[in-house]
Amino acid sequence: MIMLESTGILSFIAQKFVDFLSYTGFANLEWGNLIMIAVGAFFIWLAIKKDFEPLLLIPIGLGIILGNIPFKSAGLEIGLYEDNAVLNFFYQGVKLGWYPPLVFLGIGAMTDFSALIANPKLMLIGAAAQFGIFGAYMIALAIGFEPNQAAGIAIIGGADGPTAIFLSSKLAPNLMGAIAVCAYSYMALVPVIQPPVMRLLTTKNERLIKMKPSRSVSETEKILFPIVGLLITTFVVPSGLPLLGMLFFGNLLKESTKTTRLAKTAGSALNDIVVMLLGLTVGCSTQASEFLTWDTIFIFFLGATAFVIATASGVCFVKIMNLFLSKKNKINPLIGNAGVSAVPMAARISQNIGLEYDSHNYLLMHAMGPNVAGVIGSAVAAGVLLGFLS
Amino acid sequence: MKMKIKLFTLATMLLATTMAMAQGAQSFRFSEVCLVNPNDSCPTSSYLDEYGQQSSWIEIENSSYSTHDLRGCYITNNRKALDPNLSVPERIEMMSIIVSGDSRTNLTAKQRIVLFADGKVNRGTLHTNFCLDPEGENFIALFDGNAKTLIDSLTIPAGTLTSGQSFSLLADDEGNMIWAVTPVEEVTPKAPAVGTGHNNKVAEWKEKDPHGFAMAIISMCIVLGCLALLYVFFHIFGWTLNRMAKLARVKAIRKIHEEAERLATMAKQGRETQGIEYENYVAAISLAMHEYLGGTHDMESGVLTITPHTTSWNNKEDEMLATPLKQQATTNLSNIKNSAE
Repeated sequence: MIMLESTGILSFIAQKFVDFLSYTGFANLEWGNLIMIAVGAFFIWLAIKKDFEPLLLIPIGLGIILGNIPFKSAGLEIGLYEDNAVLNFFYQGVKLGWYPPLVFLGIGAMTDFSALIANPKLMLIGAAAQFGIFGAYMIALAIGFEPNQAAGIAIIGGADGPTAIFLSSKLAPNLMGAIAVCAYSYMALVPVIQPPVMRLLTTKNERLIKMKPSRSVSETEKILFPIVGLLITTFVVPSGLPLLGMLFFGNLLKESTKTTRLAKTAGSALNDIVVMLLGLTVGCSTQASEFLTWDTIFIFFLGATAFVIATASGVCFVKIMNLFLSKKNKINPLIGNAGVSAVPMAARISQNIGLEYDSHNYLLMHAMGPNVAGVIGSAVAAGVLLGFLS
Repeated sequence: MKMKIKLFTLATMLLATTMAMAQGAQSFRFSEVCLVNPNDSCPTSSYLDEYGQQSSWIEIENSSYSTHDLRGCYITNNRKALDPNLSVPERIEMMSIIVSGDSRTNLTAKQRIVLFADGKVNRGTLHTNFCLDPEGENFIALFDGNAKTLIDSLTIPAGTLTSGQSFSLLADDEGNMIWAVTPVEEVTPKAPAVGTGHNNKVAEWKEKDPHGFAMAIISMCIVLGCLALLYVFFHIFGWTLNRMAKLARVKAIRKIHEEAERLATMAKQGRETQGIEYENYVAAISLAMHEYLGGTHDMESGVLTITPHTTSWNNKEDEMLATPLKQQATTNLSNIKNSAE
């Protein structure tokens, strides 16, 4: 009797153990998961060893690993796409698009628009560089993407991660993971992509142009900028309201000088929290079944193309502007690349290349103008695409 | 003052809240009405109620992009309800209320609800207390919870629809909303009419702009235009501020010059005149004295009038003797001579 009972318990234990094994990652592993885990590990390596955008690539890299841990679909409420799962709760910020505006709030609170206010014609460079988005849109259509998907992919050319996530979550939710990873990857690769294009499109004399120092900007102008900027951009493109509204709100917090505490929180603690959750959940959303497709390869190709077009159009636009400017007001075309909104990496590249050719030619502050204009420009472009296609 | 500001803020918020509430109810509109003859031998409508019965139905759409509840609103087919002189109880008597307590009446953005116009309210929330006439003219109106505010109304002329057809709100080529007859096979209860909605936008771009040139041109123009507007504003504003700063500098320099002159005068003349040139100082005091002593200064016109006034202190005649001095001297001399002889 005891023997029989113990056999029953043993078989029960064995059955449960087998059950347990069926729940483990090993039992549910697919080759796609392994590839994605390797991709996640590569991102972490890039961030730590190569110092490529560590604040973004570490959460995304770990998110990719997290999202590709295989598990049995048994209603455990643990997966990113499962209702009531904690990760699903975090994912709502991406899905419903409220993380990107919060990131924009932080960007606004951290950005100094003085360089742009001092020399407002630099805004036009930020606008011209947005051609990268629409160039990529045309190529995406030629490849065979639907207009809404093409728009979601093309926004990578704006070099603005939050904007890319915001737009793709509205227009092409199924491609959002690939688009977000692609956008952030290329932002990290800006120092690799942009310099050859800049060198190719400029002559040595153009690279040596010294721009006259910017005038000082009054406090009134700094306060007025977010208010007027908000009114003008959102009256023209109301669909860009969530991004532009938060960007200018953050900047007003900073420039009003009366809400320093709020600006500090928006630009540091709040921004960090949102970036962590955004990076993690975007990484998680790149599950092998969704990510390892031909579409992803096309997206990466289109993303690189968009960056190249954006850089080229910014540089060429400066060269065109120079045709109409007097000799003392000429602009160094090396700041044209900064029209993409990868702040401040793109501006830093202008500075570094400028210094390569003339060790006394400091372009950083001049390049910050088109760089921050690019943030506004890409948000406006996203609003336009959203308005037309949603 | 603070209290006034507080009251003003409170009043503004209250007003905004009231408007928001009104906006909520006003978001509802009739979107499709289907007339069905319940006595038809073969079913003409595939959309049946919870009891498997066919009847005419009215579709109401939440046209906004936020959630609103239809509960408490009234629906009627009685045109008399439009009479503004009727009392609320009289109105309610001729209307069918959409009762509360049913989650189906809570409509999310662009969601639609279908009410069966079968005159059988005992069958549930989605049934009205009136029927629609499949052959005659039909009027329907939707009222807000106060039974007075008209939200939407619709008249379907007699003979417009045959049994099973619907009258739908559609967008024409120019995007205007129009009512049109929909054939039986295209009736869409609880769904947008065929050919409307998001997919249509994407399809239109795909069809009309397969290469994306139009999108690129339009969008680039908008982005450039937007940032160009910002450029123009801050260019002009910066120029104005620069100009004002220059003027302020000139003014400041002028003030410094004046001060320097004053100090130089003080150094030359002492502090008595507070740096004003002595002649000006005396003139100013003289004028003030003159005015104070009731001179002829004309206060009203602000014109200083000086009346010619002759005094004898410098009269040449007064300076002269009655007899010329030379003659008198000669006379005196001859007198002396005569006395000596």
